[in-house]
Amino acid sequence: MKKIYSFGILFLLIVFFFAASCKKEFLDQKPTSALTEADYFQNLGELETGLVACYAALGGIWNFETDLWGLGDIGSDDADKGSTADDQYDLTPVSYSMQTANNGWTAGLWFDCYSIISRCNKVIEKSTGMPNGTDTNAIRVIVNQAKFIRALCYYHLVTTYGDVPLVNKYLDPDQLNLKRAPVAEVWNQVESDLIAATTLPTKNDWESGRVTSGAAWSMLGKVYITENKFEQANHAFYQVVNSNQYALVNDFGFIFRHEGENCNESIFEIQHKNNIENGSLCSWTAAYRMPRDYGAGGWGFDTPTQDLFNEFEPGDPRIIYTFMFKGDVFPIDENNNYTVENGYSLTGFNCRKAWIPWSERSCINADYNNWEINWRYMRYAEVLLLYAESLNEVMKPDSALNLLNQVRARARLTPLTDPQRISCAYTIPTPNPLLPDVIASNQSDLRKAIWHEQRVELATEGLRRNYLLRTGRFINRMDYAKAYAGVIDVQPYQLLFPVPVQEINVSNGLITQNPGY
Amino acid sequence: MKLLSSFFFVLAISTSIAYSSFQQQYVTGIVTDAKTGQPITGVNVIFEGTQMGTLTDLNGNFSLPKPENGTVVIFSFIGYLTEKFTWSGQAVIDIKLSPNVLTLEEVVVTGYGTIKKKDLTGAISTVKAKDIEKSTPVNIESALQGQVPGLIITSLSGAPGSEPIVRIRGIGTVNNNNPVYVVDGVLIDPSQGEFNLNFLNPNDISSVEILKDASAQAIYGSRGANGVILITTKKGTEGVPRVTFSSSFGFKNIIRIPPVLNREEFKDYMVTCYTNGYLRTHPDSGTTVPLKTLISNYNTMRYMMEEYNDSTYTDWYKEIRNKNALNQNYNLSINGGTKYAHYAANIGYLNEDGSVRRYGYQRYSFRLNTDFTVGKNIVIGENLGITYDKRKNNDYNGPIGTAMSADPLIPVYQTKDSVSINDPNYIYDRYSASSIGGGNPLLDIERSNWTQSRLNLVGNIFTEITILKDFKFRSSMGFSSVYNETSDFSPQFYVSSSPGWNNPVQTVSEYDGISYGWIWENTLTYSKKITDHSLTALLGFTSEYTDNRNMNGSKQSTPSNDPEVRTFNAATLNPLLSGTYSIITLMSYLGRLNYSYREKYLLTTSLRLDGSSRFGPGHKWGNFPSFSLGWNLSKEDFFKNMDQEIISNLKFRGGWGQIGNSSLPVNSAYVSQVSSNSPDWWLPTRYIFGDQVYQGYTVSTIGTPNITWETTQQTNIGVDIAFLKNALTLTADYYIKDTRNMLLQVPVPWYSGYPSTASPYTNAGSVRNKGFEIILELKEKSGDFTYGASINGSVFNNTVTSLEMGNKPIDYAFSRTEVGKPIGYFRGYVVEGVFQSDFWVKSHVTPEGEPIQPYAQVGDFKFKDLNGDGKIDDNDQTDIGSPWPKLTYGFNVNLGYKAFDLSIFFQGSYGNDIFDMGMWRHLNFVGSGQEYEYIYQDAWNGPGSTNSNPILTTVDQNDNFRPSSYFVEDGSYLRLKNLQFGYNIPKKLCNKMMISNGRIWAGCTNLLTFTRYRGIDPEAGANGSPLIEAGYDWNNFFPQTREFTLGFTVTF
Repeated sequence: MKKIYSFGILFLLIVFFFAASCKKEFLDQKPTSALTEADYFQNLGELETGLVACYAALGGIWNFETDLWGLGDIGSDDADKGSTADDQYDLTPVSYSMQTANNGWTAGLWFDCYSIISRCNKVIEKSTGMPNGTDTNAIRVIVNQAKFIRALCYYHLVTTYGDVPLVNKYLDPDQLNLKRAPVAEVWNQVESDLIAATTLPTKNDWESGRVTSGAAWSMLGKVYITENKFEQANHAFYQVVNSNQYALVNDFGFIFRHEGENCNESIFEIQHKNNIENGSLCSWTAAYRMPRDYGAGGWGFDTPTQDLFNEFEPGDPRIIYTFMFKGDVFPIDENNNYTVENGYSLTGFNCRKAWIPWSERSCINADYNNWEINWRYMRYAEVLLLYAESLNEVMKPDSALNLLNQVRARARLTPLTDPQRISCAYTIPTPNPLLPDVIASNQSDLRKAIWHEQRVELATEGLRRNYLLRTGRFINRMDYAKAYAGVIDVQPYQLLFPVPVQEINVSNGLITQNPGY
Repeated sequence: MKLLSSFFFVLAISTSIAYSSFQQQYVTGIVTDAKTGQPITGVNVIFEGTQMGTLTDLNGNFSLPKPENGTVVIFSFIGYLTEKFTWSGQAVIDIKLSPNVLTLEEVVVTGYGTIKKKDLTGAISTVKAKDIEKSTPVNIESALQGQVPGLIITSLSGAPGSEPIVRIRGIGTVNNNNPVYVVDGVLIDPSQGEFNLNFLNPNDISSVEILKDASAQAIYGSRGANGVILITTKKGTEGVPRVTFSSSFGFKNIIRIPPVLNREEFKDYMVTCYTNGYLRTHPDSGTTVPLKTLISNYNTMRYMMEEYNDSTYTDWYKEIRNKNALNQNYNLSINGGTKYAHYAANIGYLNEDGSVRRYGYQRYSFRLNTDFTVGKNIVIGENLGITYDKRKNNDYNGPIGTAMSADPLIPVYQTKDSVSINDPNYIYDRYSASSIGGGNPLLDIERSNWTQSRLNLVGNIFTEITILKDFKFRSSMGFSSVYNETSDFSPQFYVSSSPGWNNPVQTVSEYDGISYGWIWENTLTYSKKITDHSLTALLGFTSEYTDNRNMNGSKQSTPSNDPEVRTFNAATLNPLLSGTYSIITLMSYLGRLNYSYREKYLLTTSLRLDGSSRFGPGHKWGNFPSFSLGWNLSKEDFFKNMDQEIISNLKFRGGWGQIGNSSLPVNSAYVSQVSSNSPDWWLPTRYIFGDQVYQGYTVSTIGTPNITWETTQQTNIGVDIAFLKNALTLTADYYIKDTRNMLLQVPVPWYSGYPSTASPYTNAGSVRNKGFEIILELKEKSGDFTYGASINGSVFNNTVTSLEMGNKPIDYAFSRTEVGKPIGYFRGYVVEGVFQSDFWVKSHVTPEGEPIQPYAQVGDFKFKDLNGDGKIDDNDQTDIGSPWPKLTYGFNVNLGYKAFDLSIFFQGSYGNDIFDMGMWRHLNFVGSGQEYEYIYQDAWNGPGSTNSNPILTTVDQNDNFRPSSYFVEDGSYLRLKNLQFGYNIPKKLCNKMMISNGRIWAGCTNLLTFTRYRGIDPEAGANGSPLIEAGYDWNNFFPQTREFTLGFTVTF
């Protein structure tokens, strides 16, 4: 009995000794599957990985790029939604400017841009905590790239929604009480971020894919022209043209082929790559926009309108590199061809610029929606045409004409046969002269000529909606070019998209809706 | 302990366990209750001083080999006075046992101890082995369905091996609502790591106690917020080795599938959709559209007509199902012991074929429970369960959803000449492709090779030491480890060049998850009875460690689809590897005091202090007290004078307590984390500079430094009444359960830029559940006829009382959680009818003449303008239904006549709504695939045809299929869950067959279902997971099955 008693006491002692001794460490378990945020971004190398994530966010699978063509092309006079009625049905109202507050597609850009902005803000915020002795120039280079990406997102936010919350640091949960900042305040932020980014290295001095000084000047010019600050725009565009970093390539078709990626004409491209280790960094944009024909590999969105087709001058070679026509024949392999049907397109047209030839469909990942195709975000031809527009606005028609005609000359030289097609169903006329140089007699005619050139040169590159909005042409163009059930009547309030409903609900009314929605 | 083990012993014999002898000479007899005359089952009959003996069967009969004259035979049974009988040559002996008034009460297992039922002050329900075994369930959750008031169990899926969802007393939190399970003292939390309950063979279970109120749960403090289910497995009992073999065979079939369109109907449906679509976009084209026009305008129509002209028709559901799928279940157990050692072992095998092809579940289980008494004061023992189970194809692969929307005009296989039998991938390539849309469900099934095998080891080693008579020290080291290996192979195939119909490259993938945990519990109990006062005090310390590791790998491109090369070594391309690792620790101090005065006034109070590694410094500890009282009115003198024949027992109970919850879907919610993996799959973290890939890092979770325990506070009042000499008993409970500091991922504005799935967790909000539960039981016997019935019902009312951070509502798809409403109610527009004419459409305007629904056309829905502002927008969305039932209930009827018995068990739910996501999904794709018959037949097709269903058209400018009351259906149902008819082989026949006991039975599960719900099954939608999706029926879950089973049990 006594033995058992002492045994029991001993046991108890062991137990309570354990209880007392392990107390502290036992409950102190650090996260094991991820890094603690407070311990990371502590040196230049780690900061750079934060920057990589900012770039990466631009190239999301279903994200920013998708918004560009979804809202930029389909939400303009250039393209219809395409595809089947039910697939992405929220794009139908966007196409006819009948969007309501609940539209998922108009909400998407808001979500996507702020996701990218938060990554940029984290890098910018953490850059101030680098250890003493860190190369300050190297820090600045990282920060300025992040600032460019942030500015790019705000450019899209402010042109799409008007006033938007201006988030320029990574917000703590208790700081989520912002209101929408006035457009002018957002533009100030965009300008200062882009000005900072103009100090970045130039294109020839750097790896492809990076934000360059030229890209910053180009975006800055585009921002200024959007704000009608033509003198400043001219200054910015001059820096690009005068940098000797860019040139128009000879063949318009080349730009959109695989070999044309990051070419001399490229100013900023969102990079994609396939067949890399541990997954892929591909894009869905091609799969979305290729024909939805049985076996063609696409879902048939973003189908060009008849109005866009009519915009092309007879014989303009760019037409065959912009449109896919019903009856075009493309090779599949040595023995098989594909004849385009474009059955889901109202016009029978589809996007040629998004086409991936079978010979390049080397995707080894089971997901065949993923293609290695860079998004041409901005190219030199756009800068030339914006510069021309801006010069014309300050009464410098000669300089403007020079730039405009550079773009037309390149178009003229573009081969009339597409090397990737077996045959084209559209017989391209051969007028003489073909695309003659523009000779405009007054400012207004020249403006129209530049606008025309911008439309045909940059068609289906996700830009059109902002071009129409910037120049006040949106309502008239949409009323003219698009028809739905006979009537389309764009109201002025619809020039801005609605603020996502969830944003208003979650903010308890601090975030307000655009009037009209 | 003796008492306890005898109690388990009684429970363990429901299938009859007896001693068998091969001698020709027997003494037989019957043991009955001296007071009621009812036979007593499971009475221990042994020869004094030996291990020889037997148990009485269901009818109180026993038989023994003839002993020598003068041998003393001992009859003992829990709750009765032990009877000694000196044998003097009788062939038949009848024994009457008198109830032992002191021990008549049942014993209930509570956390870290047991208590007599009469002394219970909390709300605990018990389910015994005999109730579990009736339905031969695959898992313990199914066994409990409908048995206990306040316990809501729903089978989302009928897939083999799938586990139902369990909720105790309403919905306490938006987070995890799963109760925890304590199996022989080892805590199993199925919401954590790889832990699951499928390892438990229901045949091993001796009793299940459901701790429902705070005073019962508080001793499990941090883990008890969603309720605790204590499971006790069968233990060895004193006596000769008793070997029992039982087996059952069942055939099952899917209960029902909503009918879809046949060939002609499908064609007509497509033509109708496209005609109406065409007419809407071409207003000047009259009222009819030639088929030719449709074909030339719509590719889908062209493809459809081409397929239609081939005159094939496939009923996909018939193709994928596996008719009369076989269930087999075998158990072999041995049980016995001496005064100093007890053992119980069981080997079980279960094989369940799926009612859809290539689905299946297998389980091998082994259990060994032993205990030994060393000296006078030390007991040591162990419980060990080892289970290996294997699932083929899970329900998330959803073949039903595909079958219900697959193109009916294509054949299953391509014509012979279009695919060669010499094609190495012939078994995949031979399927045919649709050009309209939808998949080939058989191809999906054939190419899916998902298997999950799990090895589970759960058990404990314990010692109990009695010190100084009144003190008992118990230490138990429990362990639980699960190894989950899930593998898949996606073969290469080429059915058509269209995306989705071919897979250019094979993928081998494997998921390995290992969860390992130990729990060390030490308790010291002091029990003392001094005259009228009896006291039990408990002090304890426990610590717990859980570690979860997993690894997910895949690699592509194997040389072929051959089974031998489905390995990582055979694959050559694109290796992908990811994995996580987490450690969770918990430490607790606990104490409890039970006091009773003359068994009249009862008091229980407990306190538990819990520390968890899930919370940050300074926020780790929580205190969880409880307090409860009971008043045994029937022990009062004034009551004793009353007529005991009418009310034989009356007790009031009341209690209050607090319990905690630390269950977060993420570890370390208190710190922000950075990862190379983006939580949002569409946002990568890598990028390309100059053709080189660089890895980025990004914030993956947002921490909340001061996050701490979620607390549930519960008040319970209850009454236990027994009438008519305990023949009729009633237990009723009312509770109010408040959850505070709910651990919640609150919605953040998108401009925060936080990863969408990783927004911060906070202690935000509170929820109140109020409920009432009742169970009424009747047991009676007259002559050869026995009958019993029980009915239980529970109601609860769930209300969100606050959501901090400005009480912002939380939206999820078509559900909203907001203050003053139940969690996750359905929110949408209200359909007022269908526009029957153009005139009606045009006259639906505001007083100013502005159209209220500008894009509506004839046949479209008229939505209610709730705020009367002349437009239909977000503000016109409202509460259109609740996923939570108003009443859940079950009732049992047991009838016996001589050797025959019949049990019938109904279970049901009333007043819950289901958001029919299946229909919603179908309708949002009108004209692009197969359709349910009712959608086609009930559609609007002209003025006056219907006012509740819209027109079928491919052009829907009015957005008819926005979330609305149209999709909300009544989910009430009543189900004849189980019916069993049994026959107990009479003693004489048993002797001839050289067995000591035998029973054969036939049963049926899910025989009848009464419901108005039109989807696959009302249960499928009742209780979604994640919780926030509660009540959504995606119509792609594996349907419930109806099973006919034959079984038998023999004891040697």
